[in-house]
Amino acid sequence: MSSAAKNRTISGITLGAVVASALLLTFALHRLVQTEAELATGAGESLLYALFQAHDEEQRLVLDVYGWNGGERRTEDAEQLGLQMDLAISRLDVVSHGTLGRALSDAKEEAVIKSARAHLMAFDEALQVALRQKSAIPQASLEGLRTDVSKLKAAATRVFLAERDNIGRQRDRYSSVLWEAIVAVFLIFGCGSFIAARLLASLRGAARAEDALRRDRDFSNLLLESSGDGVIAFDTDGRCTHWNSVMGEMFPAPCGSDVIGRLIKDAYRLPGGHVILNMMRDTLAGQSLHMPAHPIPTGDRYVEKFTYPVRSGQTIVGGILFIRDVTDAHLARMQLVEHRDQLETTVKERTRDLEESLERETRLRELYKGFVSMVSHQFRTPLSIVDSSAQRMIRRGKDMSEDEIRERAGKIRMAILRLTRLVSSTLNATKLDAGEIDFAPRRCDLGKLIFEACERQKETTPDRRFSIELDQLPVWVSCDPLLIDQVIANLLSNAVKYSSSPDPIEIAAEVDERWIHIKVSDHGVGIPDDEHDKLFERFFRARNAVGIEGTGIGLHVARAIAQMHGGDVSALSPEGGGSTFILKIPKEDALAA
Amino acid sequence: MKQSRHLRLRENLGRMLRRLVIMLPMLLAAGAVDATDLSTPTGPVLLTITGKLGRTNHENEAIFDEAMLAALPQRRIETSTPWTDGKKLFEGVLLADLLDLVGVGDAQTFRAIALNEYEIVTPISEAIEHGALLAMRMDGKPLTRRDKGPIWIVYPRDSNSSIQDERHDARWAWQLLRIEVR
Repeated sequence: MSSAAKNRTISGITLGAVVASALLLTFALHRLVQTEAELATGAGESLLYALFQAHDEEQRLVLDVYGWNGGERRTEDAEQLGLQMDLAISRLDVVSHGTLGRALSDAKEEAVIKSARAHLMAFDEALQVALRQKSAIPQASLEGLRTDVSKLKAAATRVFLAERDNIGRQRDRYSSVLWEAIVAVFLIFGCGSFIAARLLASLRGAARAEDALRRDRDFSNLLLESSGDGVIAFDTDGRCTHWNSVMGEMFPAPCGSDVIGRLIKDAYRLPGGHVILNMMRDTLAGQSLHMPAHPIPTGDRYVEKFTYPVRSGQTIVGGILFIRDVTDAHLARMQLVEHRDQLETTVKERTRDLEESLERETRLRELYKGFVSMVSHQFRTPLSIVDSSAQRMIRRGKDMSEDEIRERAGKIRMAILRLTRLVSSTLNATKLDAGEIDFAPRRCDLGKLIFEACERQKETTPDRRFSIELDQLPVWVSCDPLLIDQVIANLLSNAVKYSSSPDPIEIAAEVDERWIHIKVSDHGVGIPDDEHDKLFERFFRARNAVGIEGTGIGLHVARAIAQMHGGDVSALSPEGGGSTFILKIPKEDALAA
Repeated sequence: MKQSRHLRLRENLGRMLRRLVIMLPMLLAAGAVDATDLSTPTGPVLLTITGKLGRTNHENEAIFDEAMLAALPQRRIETSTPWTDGKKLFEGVLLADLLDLVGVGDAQTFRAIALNEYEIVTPISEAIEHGALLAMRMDGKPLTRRDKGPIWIVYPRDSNSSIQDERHDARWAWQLLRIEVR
């Protein structure tokens, strides 16, 4: 038999014992109450006493009558006899009324009393006459009374015997009821013993279960306390059922450590809609939640929260909330992120540096290529002139006329002058780039400076025309006249080189609030669109400049000088062809400002 | 009381005048002072009270005739009894009133003795508490010696279940002759 079935059987037997006890008790009580009611009734004894009294008074009356007949018949005697007569009658009266009367009729002894009463009333008439006349009472009238005395005695005897039988029967009944009650009591005692034994067994079982429960609770408390996490468990009402000290240290409750058994929202005084309450609600709805690391409001700690519903079978009976202090891990991670960011920044910087270096390197290589190309082109022509003149002079020897020698020497000198200029302009540019040129601005007449530059250019190229328009120029301009002269000369020589006669070179000055613009325009080859940007680089020669003498340094130097003045040189390609270069320098007042 | 007196007058018209003459000073005396002695009975003595009494009228006893008892406040009890059939109306003097009249002091019990030598002892306090009445009339008729008279100690048995008991019923002494207080 399985343990559950056994338990059911034992429970059934116990219930049966309880019901049987109740039934037996009811039965026994019912029998006892019945007997008690029977005890209360029964007037046999009283009837016997009353009959005895009636018999006694009647006998006394008879005796008193004898006394009267044989005595002096005084008034007191008459009174005594009258009283005795009254007493005898009253005794018959008592026995024939009320409960005694009913008992008498039950005992079927009414006839005796009735006849005794009739005799007594008949005797009363004779007695009253005798008492009045103080005469003797006739013997004959006494006979009835004497018979009645015997009859009353016999009736009393019968009542006595009947009562004895009655009492005997009653005793038998009581005895049987008593035995029934005793048996019932024994049975009740048996059932009671069984119930008591069951009670003791269940108490022992309950104590064992409680012990086991306590052990379980102690063990789970040990587990809770040994956990490094804060743990709080709650039932479906949100009432705390478990709680560990780590939780107390992490989140001290306003009510101290007395949290278990209280509503969590009361114990921690959480306002409605608090994140913990929402988590508890969702957990009781069956969700397992995880809240990633976040700072707690009261300090510099970081925690993670986990919740899990607690189930008993299919139903959710509560939930458990873990709070884990992840400050160290979190800070370590944060530090790691910071390091990574720093590293990325450093890598970016390094990459930029590298890129810059690479660019610089590329530029240098370009520069070098430009220089080499410039040198190969620009130095080759004068050198070949020098070489061919020298070869001719060697071949001709003494045949060469003085004029021819002079002409050849003149060509050689021109070539050397050209080379010298190339070298000096290259050096100038290097000096400029190295910052070794002195910048000494002073007040000077820019218009005059431009005119002189044009004149110098006319000496070299007398066939070119210059149209000069400088009306707007102020009288004095603050600049370094030597350097600005170099810029103007550069721009003029460029205009001459890249255009041809009879197109004029136009020079114009425009002035606005801050700037002085000097425009030098020609109607020559112009600048290819895609080479605008490179125009001002060192050693750059536009592709349509092949065959024209130049180092590619002039514009670079011009821009550098303009920039030293706080201005710039820019190039335009006007619609009608040719090119326009604009020197822009600040006005004196603007410079002063 | 008025009714009982009226009945009595109607019953015995011949003695009416003499009764009035006797009653007049008695009524006056009853309304007067406690210190005065009890009046002396003129008719046959119905009841004798003995014991340590405050007031007496015959050799340390208080004796009462019918008129003296009739002069005391009359009370009624309607009850059934184990010795009669159906409900009966009893009229008479409260035992409490009578004992007050004679002054029983600190006596605890009284012994009731009947014409047929029946004796029963009753605690005075219980008898007074239960409203013992010295009944002299039943259903308007005077009790005679032939039917438990002339005096029958009765109790309001129907209205008090605690006295509906055979042992208490023994205190219903009829044909009362003497009361001994002690």
